[in-house]
Amino acid sequence: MTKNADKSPLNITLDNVGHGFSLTDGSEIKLFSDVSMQIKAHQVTSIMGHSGSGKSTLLAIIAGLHQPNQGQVSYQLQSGQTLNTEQFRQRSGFVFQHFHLLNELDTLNNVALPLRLRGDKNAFDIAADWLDKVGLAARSKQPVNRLSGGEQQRVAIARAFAAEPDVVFADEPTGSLDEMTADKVFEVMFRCSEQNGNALVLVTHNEELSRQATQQFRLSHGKLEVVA
Amino acid sequence: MTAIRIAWQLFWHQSKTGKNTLLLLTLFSLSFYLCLISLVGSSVQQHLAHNLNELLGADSLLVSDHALNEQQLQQVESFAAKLSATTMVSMTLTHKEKWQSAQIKGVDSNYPLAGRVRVAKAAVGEALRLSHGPRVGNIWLDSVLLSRLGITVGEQMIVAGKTLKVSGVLRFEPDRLIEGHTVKLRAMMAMNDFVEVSGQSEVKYRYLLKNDANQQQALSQWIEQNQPQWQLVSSALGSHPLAAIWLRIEKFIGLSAILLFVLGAITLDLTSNRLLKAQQHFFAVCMSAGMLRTGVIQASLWLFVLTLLATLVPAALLAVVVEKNAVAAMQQFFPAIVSNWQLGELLGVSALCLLLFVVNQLPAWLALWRVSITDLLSETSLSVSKRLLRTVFPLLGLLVLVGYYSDNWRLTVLVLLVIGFGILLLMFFSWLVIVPGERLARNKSGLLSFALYMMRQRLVVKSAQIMGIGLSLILVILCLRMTDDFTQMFDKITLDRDGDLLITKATEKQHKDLLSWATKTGSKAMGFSPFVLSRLVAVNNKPLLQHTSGPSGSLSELSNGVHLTWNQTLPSNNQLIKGKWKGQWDRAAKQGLQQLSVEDEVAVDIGLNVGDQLSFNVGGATHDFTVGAIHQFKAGASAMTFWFVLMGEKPATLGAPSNYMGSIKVSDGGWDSVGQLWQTHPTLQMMPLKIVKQKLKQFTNTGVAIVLLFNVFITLMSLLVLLASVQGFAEDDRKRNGLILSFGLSRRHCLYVIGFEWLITALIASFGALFGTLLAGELLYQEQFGMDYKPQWLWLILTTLSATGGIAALGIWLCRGSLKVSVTDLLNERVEVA
Repeated sequence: MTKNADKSPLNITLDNVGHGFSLTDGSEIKLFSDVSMQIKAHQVTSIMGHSGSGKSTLLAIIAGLHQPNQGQVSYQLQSGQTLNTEQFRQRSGFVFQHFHLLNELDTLNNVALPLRLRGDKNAFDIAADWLDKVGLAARSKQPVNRLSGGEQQRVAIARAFAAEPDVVFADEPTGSLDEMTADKVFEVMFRCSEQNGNALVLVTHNEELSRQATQQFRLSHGKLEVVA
Repeated sequence: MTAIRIAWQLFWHQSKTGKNTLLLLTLFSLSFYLCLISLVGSSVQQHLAHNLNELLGADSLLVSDHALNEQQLQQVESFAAKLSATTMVSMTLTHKEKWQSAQIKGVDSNYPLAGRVRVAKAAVGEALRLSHGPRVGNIWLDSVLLSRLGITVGEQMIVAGKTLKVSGVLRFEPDRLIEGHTVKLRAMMAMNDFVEVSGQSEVKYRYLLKNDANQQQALSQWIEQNQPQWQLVSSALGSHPLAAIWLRIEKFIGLSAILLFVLGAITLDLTSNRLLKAQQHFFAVCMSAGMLRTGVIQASLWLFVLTLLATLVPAALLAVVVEKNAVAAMQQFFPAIVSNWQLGELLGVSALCLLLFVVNQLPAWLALWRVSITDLLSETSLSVSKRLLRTVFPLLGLLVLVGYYSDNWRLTVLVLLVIGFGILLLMFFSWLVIVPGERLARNKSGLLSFALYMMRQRLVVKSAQIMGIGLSLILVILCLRMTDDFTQMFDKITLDRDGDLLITKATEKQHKDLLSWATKTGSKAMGFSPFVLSRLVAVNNKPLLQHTSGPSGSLSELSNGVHLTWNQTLPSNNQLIKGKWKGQWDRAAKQGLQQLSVEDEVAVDIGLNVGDQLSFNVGGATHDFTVGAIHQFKAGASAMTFWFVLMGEKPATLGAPSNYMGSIKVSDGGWDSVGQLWQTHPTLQMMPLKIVKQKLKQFTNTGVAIVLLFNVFITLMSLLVLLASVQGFAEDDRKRNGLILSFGLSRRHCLYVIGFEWLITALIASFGALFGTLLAGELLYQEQFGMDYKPQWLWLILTTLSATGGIAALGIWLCRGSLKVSVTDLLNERVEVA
């Protein structure tokens, strides 16, 4: 359960990836095809697109949660070692649109959760540190269901970064928040990513926020276009 | 119409998505069990009561030394629907050169009140089942008497100067068992003839009565106040061993039904909690879309009606069909059983189920009536008053319904006491394990500390799960214990492991001849024990009457004389509950007196204990022994047990000749030569038990079937409780497992967390159940069944450990669905309505 000792930076490469699904009548819906991209360590990557364009599916494929119908995804450390999906998943974290905090746990325990599960003896200290970084140190003993939406998402961000993953995936992390709160959450997320030195891959509708990413893509009509 | 449409839409959606499956299954199962129990119970109870009547011949029996005068008869008749007077006298019958002592019964025209007399036209062959005794001028003799007197059916004989025609061979008297086992040869004649022949002999007057429990109770009180010298043997008051067993079966049925009811209520509560919340959410959305509050309540009522139509109605119909088939199947084993229930019973139990469901649903309706849309939509937890409402309503409803259903408030209160204590115990255990456990593990990392932490956070809801499982377990263990004890009790009375020819006294020579006769006829001699006739005269050098403080059943038997036997080893049908068996007693080597073992009930009845000195009169001389052990009956071997068993060999000082007691399983061909055996040994005391055994077997088989049936129901209901408790947490567990996966851990780790949780849950529930069962046993056994509850620790601990393993394994298996979650499910999650 302990994290891989090799701390050298991680690159993700997608090579001609394509995906779709079959309907019950046998017809096939193609979501996207020929997607090739590289996500480098320390980079913030944003993927935009309309609803139903397949961007969440693409995120799941990059995160190793789905096998693509075509092409392949590889995870390679700069030391040259290639990781399999399971090894990669141990070095990644997630931020969900609906936060998915455990209501039974207080704020501190929610953040400490991944560390405790991995057997980290300093779990609570690290978690307290991260709560401080996201500006919620004063709320550490509060039940999470008493926090506002923006605060809950900041707890979720602290939780994702606390385990020091190489990559954090965020699917519409501000989808449930108002514009002002969304800005703050993005700011926190970018800052955490920068401080941690990990890659951040996010899916969003919000073009303005997306522009802050190091590399920006748009999924449209089944193709991935580079925006910037 | 809108309300019905909306209700149907919601019901259809819930059914299609399987969200209400467990609720429907619970409602269906509970309705089905309760309906089936009422219907089958009604048929079986009537059959058993009939069977008992066949065995006892009447509801009660009044015994007097004198004939009742007209006024007394009228008094007694006022406590009964019907009365049959019988008389009994011992006299010697002669025919030509032969003579034989026999017990002659005179019966009136009402005899028998219940059951049938079986009379054959010849010593061998089919018997007729008659509802009357012999006509005036006729006499029926049993086959042995017939053989000993050398007379055949159709011949005439002179009884006390009156000529009577032998018109039948007496095979079975339905009131025989109520008299107790006796080996005297029997004859029966009409009462008018009896008056003439009885003369000056000592006559016993016996009045068979047909009366219900209330009348029996009233008669018993009247006798106590006015005629204390009369003896009343009553089925309802349990003064006959078989009637006492029947009472226990009836109480067991009552208790099991209450337990089923309680389990059903627990399952309903666990199942409906989440579903009701979802329904409220759905109705809140309807209200926000402009639907009036009354419309919403109407829709909720229609949803309830749809649920009933899908559960209670088919369950009641299925119960009717299953009852018919079950009774038809039972007829193979119990030919006399018939489907015999009334529509009112079915409607009554259905109404009761309906009320239970209403009670369960009521808090939800009240919530709809009183709260606002925002309240309904908000995710906030229930307020204390709402939580109280949610808990108090079902509890109060349950109390009233269970009491009404069982019709035995005392039992209901006891069961509820047990449940209340069980809940407190389980809450205490939950707290004792989870809170300190979590404190210890708080600063540690790892899966176990996480599982403990999660359980601590979920303590309130987790306690409900543990209580549901723990209570089910208490009830299951209690039922298993009762099944075991009841089976033993049945074993004791069926004479199953004894032969069908009971030999109560055979001399050494007769014993040898019996054994060679058994070998010759292919019959099997079973469990013969030697004995001498003795009378217990003193305890610790004090005369017996001074030793005991009051009248007791054992005392009268003891003063009449008891069988004193001896054995090197503990008889196989006995087990020691106190003291030790010292088989190798040797007077020369040991000081003190030879030891004996006393039967438990006798010891309790007359106050004997290990170390007491008993003086027996045997053959005119007094012999002293010390009580070295107390024994009790153990099922699995002969039902014949002795009250006093000397440890070791027969003392040389016991000059009296040994007699033997035992039984023979007679081969089919062997029955023909039983008469011949009797002719060779006229003083041999034996009694054929074939018909009595058949009837006892039938009686006890029904009893065992009932006990097992209830056990199956209770186990199935407990499984539903477990399923409901798992489903209640399914969504939370799925989310938690999804998160664990999103942290890069594998499904194996999720399995560990589930495993730890279920192991802790199972341990708390099982050990809580262990202590709950002990209390339940103490409260219910003595109070309701008149049985001593003796906890068998090894059995209890093994059952508890097995239950822990079983629940943990089952819990993990049932939770396997929550492992099927993936991180993608969390990514794609949408808020669901209902």
